[in-house]
Amino acid sequence: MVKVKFFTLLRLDLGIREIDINIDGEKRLIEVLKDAEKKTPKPFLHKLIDEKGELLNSAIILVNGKNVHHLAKLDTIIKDGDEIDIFPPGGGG
Amino acid sequence: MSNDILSVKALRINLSTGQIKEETIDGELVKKYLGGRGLASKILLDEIDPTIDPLSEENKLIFANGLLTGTAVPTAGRYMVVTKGPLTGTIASSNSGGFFGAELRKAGWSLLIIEGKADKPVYISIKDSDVQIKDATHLWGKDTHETTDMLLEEFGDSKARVACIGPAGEKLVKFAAIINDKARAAGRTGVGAVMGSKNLKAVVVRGSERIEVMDKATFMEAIKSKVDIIRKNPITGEGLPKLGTKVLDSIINQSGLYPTKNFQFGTFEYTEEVSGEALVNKGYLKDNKACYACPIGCGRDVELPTGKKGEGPEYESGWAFGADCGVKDLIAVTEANFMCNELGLDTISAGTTLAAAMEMYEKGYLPKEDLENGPELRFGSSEAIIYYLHKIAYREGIGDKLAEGSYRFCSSYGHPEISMTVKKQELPAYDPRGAQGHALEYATSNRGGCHVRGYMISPEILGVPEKLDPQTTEGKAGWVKIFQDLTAVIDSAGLCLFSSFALGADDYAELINAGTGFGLSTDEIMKIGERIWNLERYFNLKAGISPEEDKLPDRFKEPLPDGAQKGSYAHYEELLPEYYKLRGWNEDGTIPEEKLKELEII
Repeated sequence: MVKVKFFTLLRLDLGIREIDINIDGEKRLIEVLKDAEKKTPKPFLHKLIDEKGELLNSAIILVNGKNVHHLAKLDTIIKDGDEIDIFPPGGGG
Repeated sequence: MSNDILSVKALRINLSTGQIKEETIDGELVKKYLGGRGLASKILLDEIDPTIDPLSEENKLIFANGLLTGTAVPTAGRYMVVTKGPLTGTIASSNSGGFFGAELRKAGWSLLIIEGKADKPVYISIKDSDVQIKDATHLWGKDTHETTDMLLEEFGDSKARVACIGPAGEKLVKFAAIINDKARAAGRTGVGAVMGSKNLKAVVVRGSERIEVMDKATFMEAIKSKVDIIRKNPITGEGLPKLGTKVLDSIINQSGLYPTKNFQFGTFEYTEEVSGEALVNKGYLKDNKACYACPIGCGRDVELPTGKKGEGPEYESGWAFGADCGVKDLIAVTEANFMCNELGLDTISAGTTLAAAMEMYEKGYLPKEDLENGPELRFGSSEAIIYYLHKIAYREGIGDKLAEGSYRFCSSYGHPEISMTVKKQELPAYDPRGAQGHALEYATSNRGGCHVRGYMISPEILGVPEKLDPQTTEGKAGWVKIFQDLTAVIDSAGLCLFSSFALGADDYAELINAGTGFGLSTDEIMKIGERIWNLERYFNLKAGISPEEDKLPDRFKEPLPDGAQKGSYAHYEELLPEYYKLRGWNEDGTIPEEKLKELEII
């Protein structure tokens, strides 16, 4: 089981806090996100990925607290028991 | 053109003599420092002895509009209050939005240079060129909302704008703010105390002139293109309008650098209760609000179930009274923010001073009898934050000691190590162990602990303009320098720092050139920022602030005990030599004479 948590605008837009995704063994992050998108009331990947399919610089996806920009981005390997936190671009101060 | 953009005029008002003088600022100076923070810092350096007591008659208080303030440039509603700060002893400059600055510029004034001290409470009334010093005895003791309402009535024009101090400024609280438009704050560094020390309660202004630019067609075209960029950017076009700056609570908490219980931890277990999402989902948020000429609109128009209405909380304010004090009650946190606006207190320093006092109390360093009959200063106590805020603003009981800020408070009990400050100013809402560039920025900020002098959280956590690993040190000194210099430009142009989530140095150069015809390259614009940064540092060195104070509290040498960045600690000391070198400074952090000459500071 992988826990996918939505924060900030995605939480407001989707109206859900989190969903659980079952995976067998390991999967790439993008595959898990696509699986998650099938279970959310609205699509959300377009808030995180550009038209070329690249992860936006300012999209924040944390796997067990680590930003995937410093792992393997959308190819980061997700294992059973991982937690994925998703934030669309955000900033303030 | 009676009020053209390059006609930079100052009102010099001496409150000791009552003399009011109009001055025109030399055009070369404008080209070198733009306006706002840069120009006012130059004037302060030239006109005061940096070693003076900040609360003495010799200090000057400068309200300074940026070069573009009051024009149609997106976010051009910012002004800066520049003075020698009572909290830090450094040059102090505190930025605010709302509508006051733009109104002052439309009245024809880029700068108000306040000198001396009135022998009784006064306010300054400005209606274009009609400028008067008036009695404010009846306003003394009033909060900022009462003062604003009474002044607008007295002024006879509800469209006028007011900047004023509350009881905290009158009582010389070292982190008193100047509040304009009831809820926008020149919050940090204690500028409100300097205003109070001069017996100046308020400035009320109404202006009627449009600001003319050199080439209107080019200017409007540049504005249109930048507004378009800001609107299309997901942060400035969607995140900030919908969630305000509190979009950050969950980002920073999940990223493991959300300072909790006086920076003892990096995550707060009740973040979901106090986050920006909670403010929306609980139904407290009624609308967003925009400052002058702002297409972003990050302000929060809030109504609580208690019936209390107001603006806020912003991320920093909500964190200071929330996670940092361990309080999970969003209503109390928001009410504390409203109280600070009304009493005229800086929310960051107020909340974090209370957080330090809570740690002192829980560790047994602060005796219960010193609280007199007040509530116990325990983490999580919403009763305590409300009670002691009032005590601070009026300097009652232990509030008198707390009003000195956390460094002096903790030191008075022999425990300065509990104070989370740099150069005696309280740190904001990012644990420096969680972002190495940001740690260096805290250590080197010219106004003490501060996040808006070079917001390295942007690349290190938020991925703007690109994503840097927060735990690496390579290249970070260079990033900090660029961010610090660019921020000085944005501040001096009179624009909001949030515009930089969407715009870059080239965009700012284009806007400045389109308005003024200066024809500056982006490199030349960045040189202006470097000049301002060095001038501020030069002021601080002359004021006796040693480079040895480029230092974080020792707590940050200890590893973070929890969260996503558990085990990390601040490496800024390793970065300081590289930073000094990149700045062209001596190894000891002083500025060589040749650098000051190169930048035409001396």
